[in-house]
Amino acid sequence: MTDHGQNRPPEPYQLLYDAAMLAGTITLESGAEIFRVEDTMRRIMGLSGLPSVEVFATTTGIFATLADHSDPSVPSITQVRRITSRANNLSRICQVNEVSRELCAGKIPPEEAIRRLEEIRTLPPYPKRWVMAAILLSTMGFAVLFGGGPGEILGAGAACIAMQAAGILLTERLDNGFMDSLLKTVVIALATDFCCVLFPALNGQTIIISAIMPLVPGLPITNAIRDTLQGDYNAGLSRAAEAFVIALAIAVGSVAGMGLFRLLSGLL
Amino acid sequence: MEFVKELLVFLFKLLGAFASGAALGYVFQVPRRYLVSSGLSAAIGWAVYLLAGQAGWNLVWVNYAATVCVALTSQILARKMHVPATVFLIPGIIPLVPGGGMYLIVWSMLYDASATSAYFNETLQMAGAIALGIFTVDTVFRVAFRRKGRS
Repeated sequence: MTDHGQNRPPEPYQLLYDAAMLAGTITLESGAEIFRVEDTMRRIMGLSGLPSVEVFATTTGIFATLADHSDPSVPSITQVRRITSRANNLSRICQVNEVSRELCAGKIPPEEAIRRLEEIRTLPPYPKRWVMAAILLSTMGFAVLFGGGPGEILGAGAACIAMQAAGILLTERLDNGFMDSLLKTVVIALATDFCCVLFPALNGQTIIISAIMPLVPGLPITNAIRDTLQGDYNAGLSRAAEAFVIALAIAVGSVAGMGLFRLLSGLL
Repeated sequence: MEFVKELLVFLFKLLGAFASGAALGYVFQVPRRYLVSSGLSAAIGWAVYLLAGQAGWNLVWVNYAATVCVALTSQILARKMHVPATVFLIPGIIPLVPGGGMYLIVWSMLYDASATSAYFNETLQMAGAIALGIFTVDTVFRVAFRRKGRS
């Protein structure tokens, strides 16, 4: 990838470096914890046997150096990789983990590892309609585990369908975590209040909480905690900020939705 | 009879937890062969949550105990199956995240402002308990398996 002309480093180092960079990029883009990204890259680059292996990853980019400062015949490699797109994909994290383990155990050569990593990158995620069905199933599951009866389960399902419809119509083009969660929660609150007006016996609280749960920032919270524990305060804080912003959006969204419904029902 | 009915309700709730855990696993693109395990991790966490709640524990301890169990299950499964623990941890933790508390804070702002700070405190404590639970298990496993493998 880097071409230093006549200073081009010997192939094995460069290949290991490329494999490490690729593994780091994929895991970071898939929502892995920073310590996992750095650990994976350090292990792969460590296979070169060079004494100077430095990796610095943040949620938005990676810097890595592979060098031997005591031996001038070994050119040092340093690259910066900016991470702009992020989509939670635990499957890719698993697969990269597998490739990295096999590479570090000497079961596959670096070329093979790079080929498989490229393949992981192009693997399509689960089909969208099944993901939407899974969100619906999880919402109804939440209604059950929060002690809702059949009415609440159906109500939560209805609120979830309304939320996903709004997601397709409004927020898909938005590409903004805050507005996306906010608008979805507004729709959930409106749908829940509407259900409760139609069927006053329903427990509106169970319905709205169940429908909100799939939007709750579970992955950022978990990663914030684990990164902080590893001493990655940078990553921990930025993940915590992400979680806080989404939680705030949900809070504002449900206030707005409930307020809007009160306003509308006052007008009628 | 009463006991049997309660047991059935309990099992039904666990089924709900299993379904939502597995479904969330799918949403987070967990590989198909691990979906059952991520559902299982959610169900175990919720079982502990319900049982500890029934035993009359303080809500903070209930959350702590449930999180520790989810994290333990995830770490053990991860080591057995050679996959990162996140795969089971995230679907397992999400049912415990105090979404209800967040909602109640907001709800009380509109309808009962005097209760807001109490709900706020409670939610913050529950979130803290979850964080502490993950901390605990991560630390234990890091000390126990120092430099042997990735958690």
